[in-house]
Amino acid sequence: MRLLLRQGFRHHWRNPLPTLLTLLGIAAGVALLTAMRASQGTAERAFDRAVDAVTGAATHAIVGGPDGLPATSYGVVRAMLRGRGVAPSIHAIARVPDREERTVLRVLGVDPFGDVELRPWSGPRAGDVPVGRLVTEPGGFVATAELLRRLGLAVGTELDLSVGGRLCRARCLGTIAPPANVAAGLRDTLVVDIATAQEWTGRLDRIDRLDLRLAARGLSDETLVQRAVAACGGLARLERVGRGGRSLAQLTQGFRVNVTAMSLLSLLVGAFLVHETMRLSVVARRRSFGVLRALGTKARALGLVVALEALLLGILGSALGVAFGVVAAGELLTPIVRTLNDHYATFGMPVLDLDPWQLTLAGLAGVTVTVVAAAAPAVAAARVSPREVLVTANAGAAAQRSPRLLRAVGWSLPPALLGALLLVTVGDRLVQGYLGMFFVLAAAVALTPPAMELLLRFAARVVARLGPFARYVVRSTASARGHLALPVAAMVLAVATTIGMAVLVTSFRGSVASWLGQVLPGDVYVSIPGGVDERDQPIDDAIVAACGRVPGIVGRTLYRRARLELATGEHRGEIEVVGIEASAAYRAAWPFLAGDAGDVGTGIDAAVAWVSEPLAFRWGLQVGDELTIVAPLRDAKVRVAALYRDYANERGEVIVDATWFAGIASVGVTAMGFEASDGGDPEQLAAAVRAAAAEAAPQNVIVRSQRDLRETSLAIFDRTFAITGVMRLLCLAVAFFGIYSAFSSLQFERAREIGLLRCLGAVPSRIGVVVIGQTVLLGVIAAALAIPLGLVIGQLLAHVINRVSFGWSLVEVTVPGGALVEAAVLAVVAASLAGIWPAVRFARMRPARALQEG
Amino acid sequence: MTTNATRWLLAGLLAMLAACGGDGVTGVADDSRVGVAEILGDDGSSAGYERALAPPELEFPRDHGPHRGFRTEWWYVTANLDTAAGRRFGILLVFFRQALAPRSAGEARVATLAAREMVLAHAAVTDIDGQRFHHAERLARSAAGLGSVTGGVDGPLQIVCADWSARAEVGGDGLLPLRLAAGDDDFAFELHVASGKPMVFQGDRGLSQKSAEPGNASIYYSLTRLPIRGTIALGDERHEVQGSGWLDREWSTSALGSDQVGWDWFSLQLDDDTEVMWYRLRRVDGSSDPWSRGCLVHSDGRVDRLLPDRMAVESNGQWTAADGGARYPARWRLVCEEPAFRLDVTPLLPDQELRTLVRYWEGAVAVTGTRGGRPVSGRGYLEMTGYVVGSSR
Repeated sequence: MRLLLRQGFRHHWRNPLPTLLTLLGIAAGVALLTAMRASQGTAERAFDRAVDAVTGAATHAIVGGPDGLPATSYGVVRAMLRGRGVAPSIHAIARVPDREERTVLRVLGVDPFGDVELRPWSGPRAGDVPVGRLVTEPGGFVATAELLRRLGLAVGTELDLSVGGRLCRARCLGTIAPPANVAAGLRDTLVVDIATAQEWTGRLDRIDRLDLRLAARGLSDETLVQRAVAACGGLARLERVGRGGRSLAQLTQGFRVNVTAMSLLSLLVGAFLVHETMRLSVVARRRSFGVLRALGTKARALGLVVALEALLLGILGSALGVAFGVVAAGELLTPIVRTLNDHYATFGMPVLDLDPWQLTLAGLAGVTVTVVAAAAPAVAAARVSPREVLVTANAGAAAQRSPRLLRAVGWSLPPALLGALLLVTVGDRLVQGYLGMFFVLAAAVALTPPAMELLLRFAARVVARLGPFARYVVRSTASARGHLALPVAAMVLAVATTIGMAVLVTSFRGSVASWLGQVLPGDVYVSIPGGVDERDQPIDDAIVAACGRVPGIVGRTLYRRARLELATGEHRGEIEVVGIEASAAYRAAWPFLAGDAGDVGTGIDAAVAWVSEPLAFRWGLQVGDELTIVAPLRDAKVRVAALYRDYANERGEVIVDATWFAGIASVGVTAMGFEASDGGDPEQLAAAVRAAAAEAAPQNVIVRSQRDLRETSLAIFDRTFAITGVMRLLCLAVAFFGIYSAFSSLQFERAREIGLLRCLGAVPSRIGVVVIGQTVLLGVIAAALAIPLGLVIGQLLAHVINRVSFGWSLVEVTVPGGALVEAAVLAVVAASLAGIWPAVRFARMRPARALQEG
Repeated sequence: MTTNATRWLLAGLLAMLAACGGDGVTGVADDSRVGVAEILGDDGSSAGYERALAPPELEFPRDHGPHRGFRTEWWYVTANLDTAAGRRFGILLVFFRQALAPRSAGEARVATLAAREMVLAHAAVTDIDGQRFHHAERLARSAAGLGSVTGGVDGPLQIVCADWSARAEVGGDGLLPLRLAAGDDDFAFELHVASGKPMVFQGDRGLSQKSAEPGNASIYYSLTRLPIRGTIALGDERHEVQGSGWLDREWSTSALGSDQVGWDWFSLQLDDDTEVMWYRLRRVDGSSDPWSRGCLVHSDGRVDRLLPDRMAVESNGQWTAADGGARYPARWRLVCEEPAFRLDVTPLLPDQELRTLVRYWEGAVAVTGTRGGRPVSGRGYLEMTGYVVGSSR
């Protein structure tokens, strides 16, 4: 056995290139998987820890409507629930105007005297917290020593903050030293007294929620707790604590599955590499395997050796991959967090936090894929027949029966049907969508050999008139098609995937761009600075009034955004509801998919709503359906008047008329759009609005022209898809390695045939042309097959995966010509490069030697 | 039954909470290692507060209410109560009003939860015959109805701290009759405190000097024997009880000197209708401080002042908390030459330690001995502070 292993090692040592490329291929796949999971996981854990740290030891919470609970409910509930285990909190996001835009801080307002049980680290039992000053000094905060260090602050120093655009002065009063798990969650949190939080958020008589610790106190008395909840007013409700819908992993599920699926795909391409390398190593050692078998080595031992080699390769490659992945994760963390910030939740930049379990899992995936991919070569090694090998040395290159067209079609039918079935019935199950796509791809792989055969026949006819060498190139390729089918299929798959991704991104971007034109009919927009979690911060009434008076405005649209509990018969959830007061231009431009505008936005108090496509998709809503808005003043039913296209909010949103909305919930203006009179310069109008806002109230608002806002939105889009760009490049790289290694090895396999050609009088340069000609031919064939398959993948990604992930459809699917050319060029270039080294070697080889080598 | 020691301890502690920066006033945890005097010491943070510098001109009902110019103030009730069947209970309920910043500091705030004061309260029930001690603590900011102290000039006294309260009845003297309500998951009580023996002004007409430094003093008066009745609930059991209580009122900004580390405080009600109060201030070296004081209240309300040069106080034995975190004297003997008495004080339950923000022992005691040559017995309350193991001073 040891002898066998040593022999195997020597084989790989002497043929380092394919082995190295295989290692790199595995490593690239594992690295991608590791990097994506590690950076995404870091972000998820950071976010969830922040949520956990904030809830403390609470078991339940009383939460209110968009403007929380009245502050007086704290005392009432505390008295009702036996005085303790009740603590209020206010949550906000603060930005530091002096620093870069990405410095995001969380603000947690607590009551140190009420938090003795729930958040003991904030109260008088926590040694370092200067509780008295925290409570009495406006703007006083405490934070972990680590955060102070990061912000370059010391106890006693001040910091200017912007909370919902309001400028606040914060003063550091001391440090907190909570237990490590809580400290990790408070990495970016300024802990302030609840009164300071009221002042910073401008909600002077409100709190966000009451955290309760009930379970441990035998306070399961339903009626008592229910009475306490009722005492908090109309919209208050009891929630069991646990992150529930606020877990980042849940918020970003679509994003997450997509990223993982793409990583797995690249690993799959790596698997083809392994298969090829191991197969070739078996082919190269057939003779010695035969001798060994004749000398009494058991068949199983030979198979085992090949499997062990694969295992070693897998372990080495995966270890390399995990290492690369960890490095890459550090680089990917910033764009990933940025994307999550852009679309899902606002939180600060976490430190890369590696989960050993995830790393192990990625490594194991690499090793498993490698071993599975090497299974067929291992079986082939075990089946080597000593007699056959010793009698005919040429068996490796023996022509194989070409796969029959009918049989191949037969093989491809079941996966194709299964894939189609899965895709047709996909509903909102993303994993099923990917499985469906996987089976469609499997069918495509099964169809590759006959398709290749057809193309080769066509090629033979085309080159028939170009002379014997050209004919030889085609025919010799055709004779090896049995071997070639798999590498070509792998290449087709890899190239097609990159084409598919390009189709998706191009189509999506085009759709977003045209959609932006529809939803931004105004010329100037005013909003609160910050990310998704700050969108429902109200603009000061004085600013709203002042901006409306700026000369040159002919139409305006006001948005009042709030998160509310929405329900239908079977669904229920917190959804953003926007009350609008819209101009005629706005209503005319809106991108409706079904239904009509109704009275929404006209100021007529009608109970109708526009529902965004993602929400309609997830909840199965149609025009005419009824939706209940659970609101502070009263529950309200609205009829769905229209569905509209929306790419901004994958959780979905609902638009209602502002007048009607005012009767439901008291929500301030959160954004405004203005239309300039004909011939008015939007940039000048923006400047005028900016000046009016600055004068009206000390709140920081962002005033942008439509063009500016549009560009910003597209920049965010590009930032989001920059990650897929990176993945596409990696896929291309893996494909390149695969093609190169498979095709160059194939040529070495045919050394004997080449030797014969030399003996028959072929000059070395001719040999070079033949070899390169063959690989180029294969490259062209692969490109020819990859382009149609890539377009199919693109359609599937655009229409199935994208829709199931995010609930939106695309305006149009665009075929990016550039990406097609790029993919074709890649295939041909990789294939020709793969021919160069064998060509040089064969040209230099002495014919007699070549004949022996075979 | 006076229990000022804890009050001072807490007062000092809270003052430090209010005043300190992040430079580490620790010791609020269960294993408090901070010396009492360190917490109580006048560290200069009394700026902006009124000080007790001269005998006050007390006026009622005004002075039953809060004195917001001072940093710390309390309403302190202890009682020994029995059921008709003779089951014995001790009761403690105290409300502290604690300023977190002087009234003059900073600008006015608009947030409805903004506060400059807090209310802190401790309650305990000693189930003497059931051999159980229950206690709990409440903290609440003085805002939005969470914690508040009103009364004096604007009506009868009303104190709220989360779910606990002390409410003087309309039509009374502003303080009495007083209704008390407190409890936690495992105990609760509701008591009615009626008028009893007349008010006793401690020290010099109510100015109780605690150390030589002018201003290290409090305004202090006591109601030494008040009839109390009400209900005590322990789990599912309810007990109708009545008996005799003691109410202390005290406010100050700073009290102890730097060489004082703790105290032992006795409030004893004897069966000859007299009461003895003694506080022994302990110094770093364990000796009694010459500022220790007390009084004997006769049945007709006459008061004899007790001075340290005529008192001998000795302890006997030790009781160690289960976790070893504190060791307290187990029994006491108080001997006074003039007026002559010899009293042996024994806890009615060894473990009456409160493990609250500040760790201390305060509980019901039995008294036996002689006064003026005649045998007497009685019940009372004892408070011992500054006994946490590892306490530096």
